Amino acid sequence: LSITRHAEVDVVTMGAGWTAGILAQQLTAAGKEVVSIVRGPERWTDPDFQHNHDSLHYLQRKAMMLDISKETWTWRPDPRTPALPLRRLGSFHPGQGIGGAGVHWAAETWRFYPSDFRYRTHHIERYGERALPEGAQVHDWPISYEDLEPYYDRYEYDVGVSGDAGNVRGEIMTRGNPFEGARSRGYPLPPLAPSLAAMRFADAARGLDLHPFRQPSSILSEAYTDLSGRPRSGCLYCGFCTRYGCEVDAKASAVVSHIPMALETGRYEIRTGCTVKRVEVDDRGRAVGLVYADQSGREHLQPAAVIVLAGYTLNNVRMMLLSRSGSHPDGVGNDRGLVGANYTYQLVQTPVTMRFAGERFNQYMGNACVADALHDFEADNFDHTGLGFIGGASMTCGGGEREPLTSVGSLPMGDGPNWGAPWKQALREWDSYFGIGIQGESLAYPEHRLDLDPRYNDVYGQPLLRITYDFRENDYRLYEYLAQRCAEIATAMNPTEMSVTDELEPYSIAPYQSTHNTGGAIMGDRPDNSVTDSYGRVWDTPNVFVTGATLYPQNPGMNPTETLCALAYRTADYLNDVDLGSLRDAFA
Amino acid sequence: MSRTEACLVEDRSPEDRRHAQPSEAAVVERRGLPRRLFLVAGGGAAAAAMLGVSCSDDDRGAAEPVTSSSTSAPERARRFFTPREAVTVEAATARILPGTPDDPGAREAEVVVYIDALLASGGWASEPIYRMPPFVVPDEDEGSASEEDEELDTTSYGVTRRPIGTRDRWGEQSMLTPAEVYRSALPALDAYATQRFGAAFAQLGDDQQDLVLADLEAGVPTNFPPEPSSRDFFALLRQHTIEGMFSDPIYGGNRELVGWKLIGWPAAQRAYSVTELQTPNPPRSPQGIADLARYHAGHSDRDEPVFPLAGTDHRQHGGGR
Repeated sequence: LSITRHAEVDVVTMGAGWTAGILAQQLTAAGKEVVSIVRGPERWTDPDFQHNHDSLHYLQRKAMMLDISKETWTWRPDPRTPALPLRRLGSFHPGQGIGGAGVHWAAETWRFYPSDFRYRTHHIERYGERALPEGAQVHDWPISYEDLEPYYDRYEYDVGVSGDAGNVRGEIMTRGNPFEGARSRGYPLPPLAPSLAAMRFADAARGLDLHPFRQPSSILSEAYTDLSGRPRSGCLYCGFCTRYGCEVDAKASAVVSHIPMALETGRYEIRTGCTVKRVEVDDRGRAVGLVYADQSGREHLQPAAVIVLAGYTLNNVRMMLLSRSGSHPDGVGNDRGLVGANYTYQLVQTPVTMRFAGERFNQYMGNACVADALHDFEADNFDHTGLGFIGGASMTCGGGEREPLTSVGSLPMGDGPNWGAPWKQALREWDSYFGIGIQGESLAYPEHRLDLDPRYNDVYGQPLLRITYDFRENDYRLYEYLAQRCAEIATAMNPTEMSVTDELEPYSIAPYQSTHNTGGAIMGDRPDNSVTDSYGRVWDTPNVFVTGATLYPQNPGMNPTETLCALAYRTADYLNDVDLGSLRDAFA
Repeated sequence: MSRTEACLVEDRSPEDRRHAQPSEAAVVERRGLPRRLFLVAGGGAAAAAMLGVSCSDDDRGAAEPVTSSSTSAPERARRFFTPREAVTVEAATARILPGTPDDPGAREAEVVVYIDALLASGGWASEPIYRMPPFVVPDEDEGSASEEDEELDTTSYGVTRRPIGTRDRWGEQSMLTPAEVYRSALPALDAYATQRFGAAFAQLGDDQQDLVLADLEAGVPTNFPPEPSSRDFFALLRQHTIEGMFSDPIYGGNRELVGWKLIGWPAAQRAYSVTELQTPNPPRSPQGIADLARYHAGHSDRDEPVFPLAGTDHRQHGGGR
């Protein structure tokens, strides 16, 4: 079968989401030629996100997500149990098409803590080596918070992030998160308006001497002119946000800013409807380009000096494992068997649900970011001595965008049936209840891996990625502690009724939790403890780069996107500073 | 072949399976299902074609939808359902979400019309589903697992023991489409209703119907096949009741927006002010997407701002606060 060979470009990326969009904009601005290969469609705010207030189509049928009829993942809780395919989207919602999952994201925007970057060292210094959970692979990142701060700042001002700063150059600001690392300046925009439930939560938490603050967000609270020079509207609080594209561009995405800028240079091309099948490697082990299938199944090779795997976390890992060759028999980046290791997820749960009889909270308005957050029990912001676990979870309460299809089936019914007359009565109070949610951090363990499934394939006959993952002792203890703290705050909110789930159930891939899969090709300071360096440059195939949360050694208890965007800016600076052709050769 | 592999239905013809895997033949007989159901084991056949093959009910009515509003909902729910099926589904959904003309429920919302349209369109296809084999075969003894069996027996997964609840960890694994679930489960529902109360489901009184549905939910009937079990069917029926009650009326249910009025959801609104967000007023009247005027009609130049710009204090990139 013949393969169409295209002219070589400077950089080719798999995917055109947040990180590819940032790279394309930054590199084309410096004169480089970039091509992105994307399996999904082209889609733009106008017309594609117009008139989209249809929750059956976008939430229930998941119109913007990856088409898993063609490719899914298998999962098993441990290596002794058979893996079965996820047949309908569940635990996480990777995207497809231009902008990737960064189009239909919730836009909760976080900088990780300084201690997240020196995770191992920090915990050993404060609690001693014995505090690390048995069997856990606890790593430091190869860069510090201070290394990344300028890039966080760039992201926040390029797209327009809304929030209250908590620490500007060491000065603690009471309205923001007092635990955050020092920032060089505040956010460009004030926070989004808090919901009624968020205000109720914040009042109760302050009464307990805790430190609630407004959820920082990549949704504009006011009109803002972003890096493209285009003014964008502030949020209209319409209530159709996560899992939708924003119809007024108030929610940031690569489709809104970076990708149009890159296309305007004439040096960027996106090939939609094209599925990457492998990284092509020469007999000296250097990457040549990306091999992909177009919509008719015909194969193409796009050669480039630098190849960037900028797809979703899980697909980046899968592509490395599928790129087997004589020079890299176990796949690109996998000469030391570390691709697929350090897969981590999160504990996204709602330990407490409250009902306030006779009250309504307008929870169908707004978005996920009209919530208030609380980090008193996140990361190492509290003393873990004697608690029996490390890490923590962010707490949030009062997010909006409620709609019936994804909520009426899980109304808290006590012991009653969730159908018939009792259920109908509960439906009348649909807007009278809400919960307190947690997003807990997740450590890596040797048993938790990503590898190729021996049984199930995609439509091209290539093996699916197999996920081996379950919650562990540290997770169960962390959850139990956080559930108690949620219950204390809920009690202070004085609900008519509340239900507390005080124990964590084992992981299930069926219900949605978070699209925060991380790890699998982690960054590090040496080839024997990681797959890439801090720029995402692959140790054993040095003209291949990996971007995104694939690089995270373990998963903090916060949404991953701002950090992966900051890392992409840093990688773009690196690529603009070097002779790209020289990257084919080994590390200097 | 290991026992683990034996539990999975390979992608072979039904005849091959019967000869090569005696355990599978046993499953087929246990189910007492028509052999045609196994035509989907390959997973690739178009739903519409399958439905044509599997439709054999004697009382199947007109294939064309009847749109006159003077006809009843079951009479208009006939693109997929037979007349008897439509009446049964309407009756069952009306117990899941009961109502009266003054306080509408699933019957008044015409949920059955939504479900019929969904199934006729190959409803399973509107949410992407990975349908490549092998499929897991349900454990016949699922309902009798004891407390001690909470850990999955890995060597026999899917063959002899699969404790209650463990299947949920992997999500839906069925090879059946929703259309096939209805076609198989509705006769079983009527058979169970007849066995317990002496008449078809739709002929029973409300209290008897509630008891039958509670039994379905609890997995009590023994005349359902392992797949779809009575629990599978009840869960699907409840899910479809929710969809038909609360989705946009363009999909056929939620007539006169009664579902949204019940819960107080204004649905497709263009915008809310911060004052509205923070004031516990009664909700606005609901509207569907057909009522939603295009926001900036005729305006398609992406270089221009979208008006009106929400927010009073317009900031520029690069400026600090």
